[in-house]
Amino acid sequence: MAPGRRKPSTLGLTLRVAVVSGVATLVLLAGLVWQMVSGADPALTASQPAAQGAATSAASGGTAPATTASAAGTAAAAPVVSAPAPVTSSTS
Amino acid sequence: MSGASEHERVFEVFGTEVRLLVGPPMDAGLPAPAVISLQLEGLMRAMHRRMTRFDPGSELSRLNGESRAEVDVSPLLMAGLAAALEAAELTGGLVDPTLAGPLEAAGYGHSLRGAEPAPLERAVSAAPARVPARPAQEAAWRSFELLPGEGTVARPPGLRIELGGSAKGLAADLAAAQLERYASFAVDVGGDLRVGGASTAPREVHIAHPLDAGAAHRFRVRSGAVATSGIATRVWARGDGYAHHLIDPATGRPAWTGLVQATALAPTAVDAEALAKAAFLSGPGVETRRVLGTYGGLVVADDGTVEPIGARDVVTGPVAVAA
Repeated sequence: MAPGRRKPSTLGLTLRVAVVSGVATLVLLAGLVWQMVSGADPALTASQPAAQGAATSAASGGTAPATTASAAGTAAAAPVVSAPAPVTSSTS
Repeated sequence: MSGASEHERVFEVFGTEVRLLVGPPMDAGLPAPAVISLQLEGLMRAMHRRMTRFDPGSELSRLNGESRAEVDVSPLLMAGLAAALEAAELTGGLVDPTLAGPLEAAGYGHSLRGAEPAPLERAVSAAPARVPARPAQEAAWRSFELLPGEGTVARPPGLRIELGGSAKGLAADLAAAQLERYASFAVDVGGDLRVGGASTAPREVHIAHPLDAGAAHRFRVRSGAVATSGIATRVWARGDGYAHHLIDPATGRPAWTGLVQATALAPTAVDAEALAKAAFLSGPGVETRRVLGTYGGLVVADDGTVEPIGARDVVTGPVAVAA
């Protein structure tokens, strides 16, 4: 903790974590949309060109038929299953 | 939902497998299931790049190596840190994010993805006396202070944090938030699940048994989170016996508690992940029933015995406090 900064109480920390969770989530989602659209995040642009293209299409109002060629190709190869498909929780 | 279908996308990130199932959108203008799935994969890959402790260049590794008391962090890492501290708060410090050092000392200093785990039965039979884990007295995690308005984290230099399961749970929760207006969805981040959607049809959730190929239990859940924590896939041999990745905060050593796996239900995956790990660390007994009593779950003992705790098999509404 920085010099002079008051150590928060347990209740204070709980409230702080709750507030931080909500605020950070909103900020995070807004930031990610911007990053994906602008291509500013190398974590996305370096390894996920399909995701980048799909995100750009979606952000510009496009839906499935309007995706880039790479995203559409990826989507076409993905399987479709009957809903709701069973899922498994296990250690990983 | 008869006749309905879901788009399925499977990929690897966080050192594990992620599976997304997305039904049709309920509102005009929402991205198609294939498109939102690609966006969510991008989100999770961005999270992993920033939050892994196995990459010395990740933002988390840079934070852990920073000598200043206050450090600027991205909103993404801020959210991960908040999730880890929420897990610690929820469990009274039993799920402690400041155990990077003990994890490395136990032999978990690198990703074990793809590594063959040691035989669980052999590890259990060679384990020391079973003792419930306890929170560390010093509770170093409480010295983390998040300052989202300033975009900074304050903590004593040298105190390292690891996000592990909290990052997986957060990824599932963030994905679920984007999928609520789809007919149905499931997000499986290495066993940390969120299920839901606009449909009222419950989804079958199998809980894998760690000692055989079958299911330990089945729930039917319409909306909520299910997470499983255990040692079956993260156990390894070392000179003096066996070790695994679930550390007793009080001793800094792998916890052998009498359980090999615990599963928790909760409204969010961050909380379900924390409760499952806390139940495992508590071992069989009253404390585990208290940990899992609110939302329900189940535990698997060293001998393979399965004990459901406080959970209804069919959860028709959002996972909430049991009536």
